[in-house]
Amino acid sequence: MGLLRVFLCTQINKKKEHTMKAQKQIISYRRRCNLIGQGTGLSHYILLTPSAETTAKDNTK
Amino acid sequence: MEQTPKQATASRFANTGQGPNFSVLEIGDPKRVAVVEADTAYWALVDRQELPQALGGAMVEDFLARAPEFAAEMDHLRAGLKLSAAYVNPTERCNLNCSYCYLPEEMRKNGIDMGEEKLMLALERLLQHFRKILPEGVKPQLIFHGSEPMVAREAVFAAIARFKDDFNFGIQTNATLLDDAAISFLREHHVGIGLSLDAPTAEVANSTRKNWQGNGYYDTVVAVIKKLVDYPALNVITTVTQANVHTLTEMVDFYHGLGVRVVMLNPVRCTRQGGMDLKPDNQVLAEAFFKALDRSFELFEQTGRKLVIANFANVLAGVIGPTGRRLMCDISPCGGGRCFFAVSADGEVVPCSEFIGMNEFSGGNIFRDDPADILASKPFQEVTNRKVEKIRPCAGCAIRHFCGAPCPAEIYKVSGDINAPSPYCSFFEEQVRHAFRIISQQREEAYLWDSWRTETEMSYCWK
Repeated sequence: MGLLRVFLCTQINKKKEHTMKAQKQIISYRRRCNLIGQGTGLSHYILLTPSAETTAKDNTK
Repeated sequence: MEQTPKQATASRFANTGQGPNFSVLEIGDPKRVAVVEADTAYWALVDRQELPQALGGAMVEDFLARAPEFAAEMDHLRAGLKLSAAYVNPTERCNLNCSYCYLPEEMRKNGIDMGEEKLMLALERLLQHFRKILPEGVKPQLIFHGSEPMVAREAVFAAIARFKDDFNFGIQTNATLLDDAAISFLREHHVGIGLSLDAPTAEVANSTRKNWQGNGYYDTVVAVIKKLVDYPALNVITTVTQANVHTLTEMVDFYHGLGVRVVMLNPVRCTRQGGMDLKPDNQVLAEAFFKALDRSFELFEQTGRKLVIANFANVLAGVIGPTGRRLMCDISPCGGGRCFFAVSADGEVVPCSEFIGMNEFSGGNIFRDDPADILASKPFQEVTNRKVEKIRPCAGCAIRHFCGAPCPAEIYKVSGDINAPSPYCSFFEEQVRHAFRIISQQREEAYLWDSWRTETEMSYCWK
């Protein structure tokens, strides 16, 4: 149930954000990397390295 | 009576006095134009009829209030990041002889191997340096790169097994030497795998990617992709040349049909004559590239399954959130020599793999020199001090921090001067315009990698 609620809330928030943007005559926003405070960012120049999230999903072992 | 001068107040208007410098960009969207403050990479998409509202009043004041924060963020991105990745070439040799390779032919044909013992030593020295500079718990990235790293399979796999807890590993390979045992090993060790394929048909793909006898490996590479398509850390690189530029839309269908999730459609680097000879025309490239992007969107709408074209996604991410980009080519200074560097098979360290074979850009040798001294070396400083502000016409370009005038190695080879614009300048311009059009259509989520939203947080939104 908990997971379902989180999913539904996320979808509702996304829809709200989408509707909010649609009504605007000016669209302007900015996002920030969550890791930037560590001074490293995501700093490779080819997309190779799996994140912890993607490796956790890998069930091929 | 003498009057006390009044403190200057922030102007309510852009482009005069103490107001911000807002550039107005035609983005090819019927409804909106972009307003950009280049130094802070701030942007707003404004209804054409509402443009006066953006050049004075609340939006200007809102920007001025947040400008120091945006500027600090850009400073950190451009000067504050630490080295967190190394590209290691365990061999100079390659079993293929692709027409556009950025490495010298003699090196690929008759070059040396690093050997297992020296590879272990190199990784140990790199690890010691990373441990000094990275926060606790942050794993550095170690990518085996080419020539063809699988030519040195035993040494590479021994290194992965030994350092599995110390690095996040990746390998960029032509896939021709990936047998089932190798695939199982790489999967078990969660190694990121990048494969190369250039076209949806053998005829076109094999025309540029072939062995020393002129034979292509299209069937082999496709068979490997099919075996790895369920692997979350797979991505495929397509190098875009005159030979395949007209196949990009079919390429998207082909990859999507196979179930591939991430591809890069990288314009060929002009670092060697072969690449220069195959460079596609910028306008032809832009049209083909945008059709391929449109097709990826259609397929996402039809199936709910995304094929991320990562080099474009990175430009889009760089616009939406400058620090949220993953690739460090489209910002200046680029990531070479500051976020990552490359170690060649003889231990020479250059800012990026693109510089391998250019001895004038070697900052030292991993077996002899301290990585900190290498990072501070003159050749590295030349690359890490390369900023768009020093380059004409980039210095006056409104999208200079969404493009970054890449790539210094390519530009050095083409112009003989590292501080020159890219041969792909007009393509990059169009790419940023396309990114703004997608934001205007509010379709950006369809083009970005899935974890992008959780990797970033909203830090500003015009209300």
